[in-house]
Amino acid sequence: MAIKSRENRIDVLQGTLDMMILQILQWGPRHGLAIAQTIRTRSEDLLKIEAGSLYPALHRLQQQGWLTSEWKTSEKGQRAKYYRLTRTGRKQLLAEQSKWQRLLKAIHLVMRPNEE
Amino acid sequence: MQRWLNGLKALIYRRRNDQDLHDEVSAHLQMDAQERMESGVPPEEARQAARRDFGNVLRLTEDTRTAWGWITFEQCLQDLRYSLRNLWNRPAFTGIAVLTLALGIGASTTIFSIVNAALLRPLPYAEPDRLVAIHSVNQAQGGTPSIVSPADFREWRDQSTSFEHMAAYSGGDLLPAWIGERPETIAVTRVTWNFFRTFGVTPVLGHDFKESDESNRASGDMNVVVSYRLWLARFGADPTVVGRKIKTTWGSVTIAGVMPPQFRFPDSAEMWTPIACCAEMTLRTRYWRVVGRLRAGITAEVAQDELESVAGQLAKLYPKDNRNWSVLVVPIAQDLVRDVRQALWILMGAVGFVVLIACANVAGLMLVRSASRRREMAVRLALGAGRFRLIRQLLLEGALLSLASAAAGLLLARWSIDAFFRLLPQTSWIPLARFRDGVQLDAAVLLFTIFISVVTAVVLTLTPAADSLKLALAESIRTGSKLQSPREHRAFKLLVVAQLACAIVLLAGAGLLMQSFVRMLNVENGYDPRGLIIMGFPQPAQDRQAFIDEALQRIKAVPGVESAALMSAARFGQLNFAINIEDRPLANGDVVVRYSSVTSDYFRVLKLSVIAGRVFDTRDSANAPAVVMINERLAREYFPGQDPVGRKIVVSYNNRRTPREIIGVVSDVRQEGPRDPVRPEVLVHWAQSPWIAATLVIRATGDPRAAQLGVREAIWSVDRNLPAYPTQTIEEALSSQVATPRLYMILFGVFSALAVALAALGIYGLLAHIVSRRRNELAIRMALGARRSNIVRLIVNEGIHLSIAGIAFGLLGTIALTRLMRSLLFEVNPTDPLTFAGVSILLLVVALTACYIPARRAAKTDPVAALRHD
Repeated sequence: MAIKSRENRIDVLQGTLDMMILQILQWGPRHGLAIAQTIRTRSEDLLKIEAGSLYPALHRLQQQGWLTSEWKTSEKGQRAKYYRLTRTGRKQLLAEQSKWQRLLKAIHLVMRPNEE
Repeated sequence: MQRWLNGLKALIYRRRNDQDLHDEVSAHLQMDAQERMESGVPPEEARQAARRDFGNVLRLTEDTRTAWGWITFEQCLQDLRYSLRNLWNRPAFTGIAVLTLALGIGASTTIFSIVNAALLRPLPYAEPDRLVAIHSVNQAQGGTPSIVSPADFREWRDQSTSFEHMAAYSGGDLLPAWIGERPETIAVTRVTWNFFRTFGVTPVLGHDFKESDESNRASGDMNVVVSYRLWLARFGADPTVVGRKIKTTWGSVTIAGVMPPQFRFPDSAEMWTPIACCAEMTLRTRYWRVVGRLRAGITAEVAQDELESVAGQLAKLYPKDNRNWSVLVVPIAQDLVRDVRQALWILMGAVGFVVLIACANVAGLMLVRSASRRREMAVRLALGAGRFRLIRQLLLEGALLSLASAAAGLLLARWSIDAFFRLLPQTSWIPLARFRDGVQLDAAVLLFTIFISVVTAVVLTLTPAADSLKLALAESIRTGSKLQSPREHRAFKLLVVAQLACAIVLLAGAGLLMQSFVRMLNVENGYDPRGLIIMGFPQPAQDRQAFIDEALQRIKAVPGVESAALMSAARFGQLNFAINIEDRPLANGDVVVRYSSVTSDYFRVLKLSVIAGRVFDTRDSANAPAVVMINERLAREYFPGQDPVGRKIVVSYNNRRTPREIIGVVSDVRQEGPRDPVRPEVLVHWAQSPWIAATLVIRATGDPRAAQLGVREAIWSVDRNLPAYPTQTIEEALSSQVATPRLYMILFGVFSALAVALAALGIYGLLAHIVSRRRNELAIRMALGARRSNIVRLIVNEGIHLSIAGIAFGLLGTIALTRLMRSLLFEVNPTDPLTFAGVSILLLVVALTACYIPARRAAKTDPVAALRHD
């Protein structure tokens, strides 16, 4: 699940893609391309998700029951498969968020520059 | 579970899912290209860029499919192929494992299918749970279930409310009938009119008895119901048989109905006739059997309580006949298998041990294999295979092995069920033989086999799985298969000890049964069985005494017949009568003893010795004073330290009490065969008290078959119209009496032979494994000067320790378990020390022989070659 930025490669921590997908879908149903684009723009082009990672992740999340999908026509009149967060998916997102916050805090504490 | 379900769904909907994914990918590409075009990129370039950005579509498809879960299935197929290849490439291992398990599964399936037919399958009657057998029991005589008097039956029936129906029957009569040209004998059971209604079974043809049939019997025109078998065999399944009249020695009878094939109660019955209601119902002699159908919601215990209080009143009203007599209500399913229930469960337990040994054996083999596969496992783990997948693969191998074994085991069971029943004579009174037709490999049996194989598969898998996966992975790779693992050896040793322990339990059981059997064969029956023939004796309707005198004369003249006599039942002393002592009545009232009516030559035919007084002769005619002879057992029990000759015994029969003077004491005969003790018996002279049915007993010299034919001709020379009756030599009868114990002995023998062979294989396998593992060490020892005998001793010692541990544990278990066999044993203590010592030595010798082979091989190792090889 290597995610490339324009300038340099960032190896995203395992599992964070799932979390990001859930995060983005909480604002409403979206199709795969839109999800990838949202991640890219929200990360200010630092993260670019490959379709090869995105779609397996989407299908996995759907198997888990956190997402549902349906075919709909977009505003531009194209047919696309839209993913939507389920209730359990929302719960999962909350859990992931708090886990992530704690992890960030922990890493931040370890990585602070000054030595006691 | 969810995973598997998803996998299954994914497999079924695979095409649809694939199409969906394809559509999704195209939509993505199209939208991406569209957006690029909108920002001014030329169409062709936009499409290419979209495709480039998208990456490898094939790889994406693969990865997404994994997410669907169907990969699990593909992996399973892969694992299956891999497992099959694995087993195929090690034919020796696979062959031994399958054979061992098949023996275990086959043996247990065989026994289970008999248990299923005899104990588990519901009886072919309507609501069999509500059917009970009702016995009289005499508390003063040990409380064993006994037959019932018609008078008691009437009171029970009329005074109880627990029963929807209560019916009585009395079997064993042979009725001469003319269906074809020659007279034939039909086994008749006389029943009350509601007999079939009690069972809730209706005839397939015609109708069953009505209440009026009981009184019609007296008027001479009797309705009868015939069995399906008789209908097939004697009436050629004629659909118009109902209403047909048959000539019999009881007069003409009319066939009213044909029962369905599964209705066989009692087993021997070919024809059912109504009892004579009114006259017979007042008799106080016990010769009926009673069955009842409980009202819905009433339990056997409630009925028992009710009948007990009725019996209590009867005991007060009729102290002479009923004092100490109570009643016993038993569910009929239990009553039918009383004799075999415990034996079958014991056999089931024994076969369980065989299965355990087989499992332990194959688990040992798997352990050795898993040790040699440890490197393979470690490499696969290192390459990223999940532990779960490795366990699953092992489980699959175990499942394949037990599946193959289950198939082989079922074949084995089919064959051995036949063999089982071939060990029993075709006599319906042998309790196990009557289940012959019911034993099939039906759904219940298949379910049992599947259950056993699943359990085996799990056991087989988990032993080595736990072993090979617990090990630190890195260490395994580093040291490879040369790792000397004490844990693996300990597990293997435990398995071998367990096998030896189980084997000793079975061996001890077989030893005890064998001793019982030998003792049973050597029992003193009280008479010389060689050349004795018993034969049903037909009698004409009139002038019986004249016919008997004439026929006996001619029979004695038949070449090869030494002597001949008549007796009142098909075997010695089978009737039960109540007696008392005239001048000094017994404190507890009448006692029931065995009763025989015999002609005067009876004692000479059986070669009995007269202990005191004399035997019957012409003085004891019908008009002379009533006399009786008693057996030694009765003399000792009721005339201790006295001379019984000249005293008088009161014999009750048909509500008449006849005082009879004792004229002699004769030596004992075991009435019930070798397993049962001699019962007190009175014998009366045929001339004074003829019995309604007669059996001829002949002592023949030379070929009994020739004598039989001669006797038959002799009878026909007196009366051409009499039917031929069944014949049996006493030796045949005795051997069928020991047939069931013989069967148990043979089964235990087979099981324990299997057990010993498997246990020997187990200990052999262990030592061979140890030897191959310690080849280096042994080679070094030899290089340093150890002699071959030292090496042999080293290895054999290991085996001795294990054998002794196994035997010691086994003996502890044996002491606990053989107690349960007590009912199968005859004059042998269940913890007979001699048997235990014998089987221990036997097993030790076998185990040591098994140890010696690998030990010798170890000693023959060339140390140089062994060391260079590494």
